[in-house]
Amino acid sequence: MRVNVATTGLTSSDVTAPGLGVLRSLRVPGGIEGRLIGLAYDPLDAGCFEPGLADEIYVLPFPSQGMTPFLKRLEYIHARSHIDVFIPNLDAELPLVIQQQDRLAEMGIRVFLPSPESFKARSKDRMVGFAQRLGLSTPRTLLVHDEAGISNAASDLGYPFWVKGLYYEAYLVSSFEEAMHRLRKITATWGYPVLFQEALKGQEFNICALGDGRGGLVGAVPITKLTITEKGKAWSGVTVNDETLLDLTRDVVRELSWRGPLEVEIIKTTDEGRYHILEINPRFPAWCYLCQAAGQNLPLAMVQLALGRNVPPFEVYQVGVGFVRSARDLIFAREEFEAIHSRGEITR
Amino acid sequence: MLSESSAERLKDLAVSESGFLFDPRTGSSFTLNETGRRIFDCLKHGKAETEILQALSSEYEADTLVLERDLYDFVIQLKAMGLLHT
Repeated sequence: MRVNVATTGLTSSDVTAPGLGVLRSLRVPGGIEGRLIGLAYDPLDAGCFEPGLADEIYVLPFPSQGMTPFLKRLEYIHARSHIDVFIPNLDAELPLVIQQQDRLAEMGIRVFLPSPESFKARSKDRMVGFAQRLGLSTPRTLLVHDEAGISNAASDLGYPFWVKGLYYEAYLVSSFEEAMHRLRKITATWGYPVLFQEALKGQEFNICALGDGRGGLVGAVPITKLTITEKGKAWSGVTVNDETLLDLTRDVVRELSWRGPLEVEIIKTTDEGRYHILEINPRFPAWCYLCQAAGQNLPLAMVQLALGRNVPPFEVYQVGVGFVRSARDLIFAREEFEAIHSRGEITR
Repeated sequence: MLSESSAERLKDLAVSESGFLFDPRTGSSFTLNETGRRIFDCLKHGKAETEILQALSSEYEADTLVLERDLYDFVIQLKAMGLLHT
């Protein structure tokens, strides 16, 4: 496909963003033949310097600075590089981009994203109600608006329990002091509300999926994480075969008429073998490059859908294919360092 | 004889020549030694306890009681790892 695709999420630190996996999926033979444009929020995001990945890099203003600077920057980039399809990959920027879908379409930039209603319906603070409507189980979850909520959560959930930010970060806490420390850490960055969630014992599964916007599932690849970082992020994982995981994902996509990528997080409890839905992330996971290795190139399929092309649903994927993330030092030339710092862009 | 659900479970599991066992439902992996692999193959082919013991006796120079104990221990381990149903 000779189109230009822009994507965000180029960080690769203790939390790796999905943009690198998305770009790598689009770079495969038979993938995107146009230019790949990396959009970074930090000039030192690893994706800016990954060899052979993005043809152009632009630094964006943070979405928290408001809609106008963000859109102005996109307009500038579009005028220079012509973006055919834009794939936003970060939870924090998605509300803004979803809100501006029509504006982007007027500019000639296509996206493939859920409606604002679907996006809100799966948010962490509404997950319990959403799961109940579908007849699915969730861990008991309390929405906390102040520090006094810790004592109530401790007596209701019992230690240990999870302290989760609305967008990012999750910590398992075992004492009042630890809960207070983590609550303050999360609210300092993301504010209230914060979720306190029952810690179920069992095996976690993650499903990377793509919805067609009409309730249909275009593809889905389930994995289990083999090793995780201190922040609970996958460092290695392997695809698994479990029809129940696919059925649950199908139910979620149908109920939400989900348009675009998503990651469903599920835990199967050790004692009862019951499946509980933990979260639905409204974007590709960082490990999405594994999907194409397993036979479902979901980022590439998403670009085709954004362009209005017909994409037949994927029927199968390879089980037992895995990934291990690596941390390596990328070298940049002084000229590139200067370009990204002084002009906020690199063209290769 | 194994239960029907255990026999179904075994069908899912793949063991390579080297004894690498991958459970596609959970993503877990294990390494079986030569005897373990032999017993596992027998279980997968639906062989009864006595048939497995006969097969082991013909292949290994070991006391029947020792082989019997090895077989039971192995089956207990498979159950503990969730590879056979209890």
